[in-house]
Amino acid sequence: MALPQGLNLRGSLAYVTDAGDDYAVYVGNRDYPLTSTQGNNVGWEANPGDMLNRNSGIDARLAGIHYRNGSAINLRIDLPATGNHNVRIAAGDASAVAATKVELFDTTSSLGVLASAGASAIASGSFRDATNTEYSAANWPGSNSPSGPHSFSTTICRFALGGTANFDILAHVYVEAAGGGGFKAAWARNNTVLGAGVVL
Amino acid sequence: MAITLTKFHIIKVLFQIERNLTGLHYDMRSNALKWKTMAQAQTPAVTVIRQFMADAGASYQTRLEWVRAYRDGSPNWTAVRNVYTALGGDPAEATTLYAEMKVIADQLVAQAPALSNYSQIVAACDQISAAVQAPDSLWPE
Repeated sequence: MALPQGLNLRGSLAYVTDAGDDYAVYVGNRDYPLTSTQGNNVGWEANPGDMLNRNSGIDARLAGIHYRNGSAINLRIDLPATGNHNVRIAAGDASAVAATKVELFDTTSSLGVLASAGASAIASGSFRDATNTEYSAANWPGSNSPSGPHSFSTTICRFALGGTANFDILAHVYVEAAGGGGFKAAWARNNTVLGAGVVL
Repeated sequence: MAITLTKFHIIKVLFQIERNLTGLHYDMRSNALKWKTMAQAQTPAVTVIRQFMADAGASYQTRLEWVRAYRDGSPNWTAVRNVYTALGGDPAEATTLYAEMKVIADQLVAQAPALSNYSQIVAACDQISAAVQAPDSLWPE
């Protein structure tokens, strides 16, 4: 297992092409355990509800959504090792106003709420990052910030989605070792114009 | 006071085993096809793809080890076997499925670090996809 690991949440695999660090979670390929192309065990630990394609003309990480109405559910990434990690998220909807609540857990220990926005609080076509800052779909790829470093004492990283009375929405999550893989990860994250052609 | 162990609990484990093994079957094939596509496009670098392959092999081993550890270590394994048999399954076929996938996982872990060019990666992926046929599915996968 190795990091970084991104998960792109959408309705179907072929809708867009994922970049090298990213793996698609979609209808029929959803439940933990899935072994990602990058070699990590990942997936939803319960049914998220709806999984939709939204806009194939924007960054692949933002092209689709999964959403949850009701008790929180966990999107899990098994880490190669304990220690400090940074995370990124995109919470929003390319095609509609959105709400979200995304909380990070080290197994069952909360490491904090990454993003929180009530009903219709996120503009259509915009996304909250891991610091709860909102960007347009055009600006999120180059401007979103990580949250961290977060100290994991276990190897189970969970992004909990939902737990409010809203339809809480998530498009993308990403985890990397803090202080490791820095240049590659940062460079690739912030140069998405190169897309799948990026040389790692 | 402990919670009573019921068939519900046993069925949960049986379904976890089913999801794990049939999902692993799917992942082995789909990941090989994706790595092949990467190699044919010659991006990312050979070293990155072979690391993906080695890491995935290790993840496959982890998933298989969950099954072996439960089989060899849980006092409830016999109950799981009995439920599977009651459904018409033969526990021996589950053992065969485990062994077949273990061979592929072990070979991937052993051989991936030695892959030194895109052609070798394509050949390795072809070997995997030949050994791991597409599982039946109601919808395109």
